[in-house]
Amino acid sequence: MIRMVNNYQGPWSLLDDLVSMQDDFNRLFDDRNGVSRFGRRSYPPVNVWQSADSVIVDAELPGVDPNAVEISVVDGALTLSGKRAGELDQAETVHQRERQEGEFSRTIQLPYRVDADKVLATYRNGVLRVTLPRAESDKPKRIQVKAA
Amino acid sequence: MTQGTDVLSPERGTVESQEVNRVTAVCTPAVDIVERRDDVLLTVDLPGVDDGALEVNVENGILTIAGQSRLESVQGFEPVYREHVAVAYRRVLRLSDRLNPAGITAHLRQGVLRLAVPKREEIKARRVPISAG
Repeated sequence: MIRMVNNYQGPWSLLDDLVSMQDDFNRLFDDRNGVSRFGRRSYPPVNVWQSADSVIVDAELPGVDPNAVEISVVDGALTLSGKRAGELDQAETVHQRERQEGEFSRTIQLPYRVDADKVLATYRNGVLRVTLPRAESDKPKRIQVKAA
Repeated sequence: MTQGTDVLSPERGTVESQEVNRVTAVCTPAVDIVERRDDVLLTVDLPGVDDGALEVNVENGILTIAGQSRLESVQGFEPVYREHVAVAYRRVLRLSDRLNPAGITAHLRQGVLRLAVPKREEIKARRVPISAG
């Protein structure tokens, strides 16, 4: 479960990871560091919320330029895609490499049809929030019953 | 999974987001560690953490990164699908005595913490001048 990709053991170690038993335990249950690249778990992790009028999708995308994320809505599904760049190019020596990098794409089925022209996206502290208003044509309508 | 959050103060949320922001897990954040000529650069993913909820401490050569993530308010919404929760991030690293903890710089941007730990002067790489002749 613990991945130490490229775990460099030099002639002397600059940084030793003090991973406690507690951390190991948590990793077993909260394996959010992912495997190298975006294997096994879908990326990015999302929370989806809904009300009668709109859907909110919060995606954890730390360090990703929000303008470089492609957000598209097709047939009641939201797709987020983009690229997460690594920062290892400026390195002389890589000691530890756990952060995910590379291209990602994830499609989320929405609970109802949305108005693609009114989708709003904000980005704060590495979390992308996409707000998708329900399509007018999809909203439940109350039919007035006329008294006889 | 609720224990082990002792390094962090409890809830920071407003009333409507308290339930959403109840810390339910301690999480070890992913870190990249690269060595450059004059320093060591640590890059740590801390999505949902703002600078007021982050603490970086160095004591006796032990670097501790502790932060608490906070989910944005979703008042009036109900959860459909949930993959991330408010967590207490914690990572502890031992610095070599070849590094200079007094010179650490830290920047948090877009949920990513970048720490630069300078090497001590005496071990920085130096170009050795070669005299011709």
